[in-house]
Amino acid sequence: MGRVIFSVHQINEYVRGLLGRDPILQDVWVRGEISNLKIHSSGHIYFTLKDEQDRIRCVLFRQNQRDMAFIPSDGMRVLVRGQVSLYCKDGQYQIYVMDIEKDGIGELYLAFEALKQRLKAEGLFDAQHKKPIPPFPRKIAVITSPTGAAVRDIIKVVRRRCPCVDILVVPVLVQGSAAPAQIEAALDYVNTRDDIDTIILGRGGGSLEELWAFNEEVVARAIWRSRIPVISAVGHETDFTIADFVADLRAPTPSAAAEMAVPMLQHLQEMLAGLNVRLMEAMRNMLLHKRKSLEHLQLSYVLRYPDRIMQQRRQQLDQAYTRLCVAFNDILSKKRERLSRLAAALDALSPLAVLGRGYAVVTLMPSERVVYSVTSLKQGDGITVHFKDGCADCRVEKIEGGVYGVR
Amino acid sequence: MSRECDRAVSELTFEEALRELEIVVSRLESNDLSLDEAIELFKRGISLSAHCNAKLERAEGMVKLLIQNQGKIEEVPFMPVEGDEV
Repeated sequence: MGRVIFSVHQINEYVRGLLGRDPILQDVWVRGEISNLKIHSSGHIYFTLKDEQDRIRCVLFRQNQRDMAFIPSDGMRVLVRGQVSLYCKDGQYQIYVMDIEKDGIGELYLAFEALKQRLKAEGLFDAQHKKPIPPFPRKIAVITSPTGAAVRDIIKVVRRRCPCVDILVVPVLVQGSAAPAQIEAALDYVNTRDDIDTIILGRGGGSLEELWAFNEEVVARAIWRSRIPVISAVGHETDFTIADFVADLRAPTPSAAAEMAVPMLQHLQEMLAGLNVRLMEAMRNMLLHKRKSLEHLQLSYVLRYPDRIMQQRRQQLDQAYTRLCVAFNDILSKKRERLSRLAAALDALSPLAVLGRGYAVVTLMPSERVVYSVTSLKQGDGITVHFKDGCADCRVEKIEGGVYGVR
Repeated sequence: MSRECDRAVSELTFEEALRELEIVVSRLESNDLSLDEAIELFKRGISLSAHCNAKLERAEGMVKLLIQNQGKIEEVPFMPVEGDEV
């Protein structure tokens, strides 16, 4: 039986061909822990992926590193996606990595999404529950790590904008398994105080795992029940956590949270100065207005020419007097006219007129009573006979008749 | 008259004083007051304004750190550490 002898190269090429024809090996996801990582001066990264039992070599070329979210390092648990092939020079097969991501992120992300959907359905993110941030806080509480950059940034910005605001730093762990409970306790504690106007809750940037405390339900619920408005400031602009959704206001960074929490002192001073100007102006206008009214009154006809008013009054009086006289004279002449009419009528009825026609009137002496009938006379009575132009005293000599007179 | 006018200016918070100052100014600007009322309002406005200014110019506020000391909560002055650690 003749032997078929291959060269090393031929065998390697053959195996490489076999691997290249396998559909599974062309695009696989492999989970493992990075070790022996080396970054070559060319930029390519070489490492070994291992699990409890075995190991496999990997290479990540520079051109495949563009979309990488992190720099891989030893000990990191990762998922790599790539093609399994043979590196002929060493006779070793390896994974030519196309994508790499941190292991567990997928699960964390799913948990994040699930909690987010649940709390959203419960209404914890609803805009109508968002409390307004007090525009002029006297004291703000900052719940964060006391040694982080976040607390430093917040204090710096608050000092710069409005130095008179008090700050209470409530120290908590912001990552790790103890963090959620500490953050919850801190939120609840601050809500027992009555001197805090606004809460800033946050931390600086970090990986999804490092920010994870802010995705925990206990933290979300503690923010939800906070009576004091909460501004969340977790990580960088692009990091969104559950805490951000529940908070009354989400700040992209801790510094931005400080800017949202306190007003600019300078703006307040400008506003106050503006009000002051308006106050002075209003008072000045008010006085001007009142003075004008006063001057207007002082210039009025009445106050300037009081004697003219008297003249007018005097004239009025004169007119009234004249009218009185006219009216009185009028009445008087009417009366007089009536009187003379009556007098004429009376004259027509006067006995003197009858006497003028030859009649006479007899009166009895000494009573001077008019004698209407002879029956009221007796012989010897003295009588006076009145004529038109005088009278004559007579004595009754004889009485006859006394029958025709009725009286 | 707004209800705040019954309170001494010194008792008001900055926010309350500022809000009342706005009301006072608007009323003065409305020009329908008696002179006596206007003078009273003006005096009130001046003291509100001074009060607000005093509040703003208050010395630097305090930065305190909450600590637990043998189970008791205390507040101590706080200076953030300079550096880059997170």
